[in-house]
Amino acid sequence: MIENKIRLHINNNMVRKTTLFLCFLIFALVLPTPVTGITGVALGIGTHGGVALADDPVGFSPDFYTPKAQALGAVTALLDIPLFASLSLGFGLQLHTTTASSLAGGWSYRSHWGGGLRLSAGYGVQLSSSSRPLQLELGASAGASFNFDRYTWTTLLFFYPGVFLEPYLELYNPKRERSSIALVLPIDYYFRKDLDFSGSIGIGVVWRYYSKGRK
Amino acid sequence: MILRHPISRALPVLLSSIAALALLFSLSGCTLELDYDKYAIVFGISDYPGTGNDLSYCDDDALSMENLFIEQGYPSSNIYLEIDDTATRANLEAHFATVASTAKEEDLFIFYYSGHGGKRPEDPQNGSEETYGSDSLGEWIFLHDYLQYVDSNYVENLDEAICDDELAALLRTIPCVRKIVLLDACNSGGFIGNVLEKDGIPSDFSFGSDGIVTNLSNAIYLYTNYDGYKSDISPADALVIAASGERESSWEGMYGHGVMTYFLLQSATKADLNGDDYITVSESYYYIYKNINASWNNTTSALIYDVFFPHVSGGPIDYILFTK
Repeated sequence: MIENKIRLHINNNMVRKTTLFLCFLIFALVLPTPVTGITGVALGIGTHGGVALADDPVGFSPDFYTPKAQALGAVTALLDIPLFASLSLGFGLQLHTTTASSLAGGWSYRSHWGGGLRLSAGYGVQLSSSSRPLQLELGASAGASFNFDRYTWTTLLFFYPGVFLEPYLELYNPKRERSSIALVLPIDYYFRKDLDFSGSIGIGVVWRYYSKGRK
Repeated sequence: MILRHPISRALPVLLSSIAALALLFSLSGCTLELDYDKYAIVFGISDYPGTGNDLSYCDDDALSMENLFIEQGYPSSNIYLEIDDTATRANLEAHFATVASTAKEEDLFIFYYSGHGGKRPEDPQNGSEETYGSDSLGEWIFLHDYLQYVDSNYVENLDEAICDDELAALLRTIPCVRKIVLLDACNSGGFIGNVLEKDGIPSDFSFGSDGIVTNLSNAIYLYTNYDGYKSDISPADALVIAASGERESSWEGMYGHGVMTYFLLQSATKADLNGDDYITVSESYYYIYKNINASWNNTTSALIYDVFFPHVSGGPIDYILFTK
């Protein structure tokens, strides 16, 4: 009986992790070849909100602690440096907070807040013709995050890295071509050593100012 | 012009949908079904053998905690209270055995202790085994019979005390998943077995905090060197609120209680920081340390005695400690 439970738990775990990797893979495969170009460094600021999911605290009873959702919010300052025609490197400094999960069952995943460094590479394609008053660019950036958080209401600081994929849809007006606004869908997976699974998905907006105009 | 664009029209709908989804997730656990039994072992020792080591309020602390647990809905039969000369290691082990045989996985278990604590080698005969913490000594709680009268003197017998790893082993015999340990004793921070979290408050508060760079680099070090929970009471064993750091004394005399216990008792009604009518371990801890800082560390009490700062277990999980 116990063996079956453990096996079931392991299977569930594998299903969850496989699903997550498939999501990453699908996003990566459907990204089109980059064709648009941006010159000059871009500075930006973005904010997003979403849902974090945690499961399987390490060392704790695996049957008792079920997955629970936590709300999250983040503000990120960005620096994008173009490498080639449409490939860029991104540096982000993020402040983020994750609320506690529900107390169902008498327990919750803890609330935490902190900051992190996000390094990424991104590319995109222009969707609309240049004759349109508003231009659209579809793209994605992917990279790694390095986070320092503190459990809320405590003095405890902890570190965890992560990886992320951030599809975006950028909107800009050629008449005010140095600034743009983008809708982003950040998907994060965190390598927490005290949680077997920890990730988040969100939606947000990013405003960028380019030091040079678009080609 | 922007509003006429199809993407612009879709954006508010998309944002609203995501927000509604997030709200649904966050509210999914609003109705709590807290249908479980609660157990507590409560030990308080003011009157140690002889007169030189007596404390003033630890017995009152234990009685007040018992009353609080009854108010919190603990059946009297599930509270194991021992005061002064009955607060012995034999009784402690017997009560742990009783709870271990009756409690279920989903139940809540709390161990509360108010009395002397200290640092000694974990293995008095063969020297120390402690490998984690700021020194090579283990932390102990001194139960009543640890002082024994031998040749006209009171001498320590650590066989009647409990060290950090021994308490962790006892806790592992309790089948409850949620276990909380509340220690109002000197050096009790050393019972906490955090391995992934760098505490921003050092084990001796009077030394001042480490700088931000040290804290961040220590956090990375702990992450990269994590090898599972090893010693002391890990967050998986129990969540601990300790009155003082590993290298600190804790104090009593706050309106007839130990300082930590005084604010712990208050936290049951005053520490609902997020207004959800439940007080978690983290909320209670925050209330305790904020008030000890304000009412002890920043007053003349700290000049006469010494500053101290409570500590708490890390880990990703929090438990309901009190219901408002």
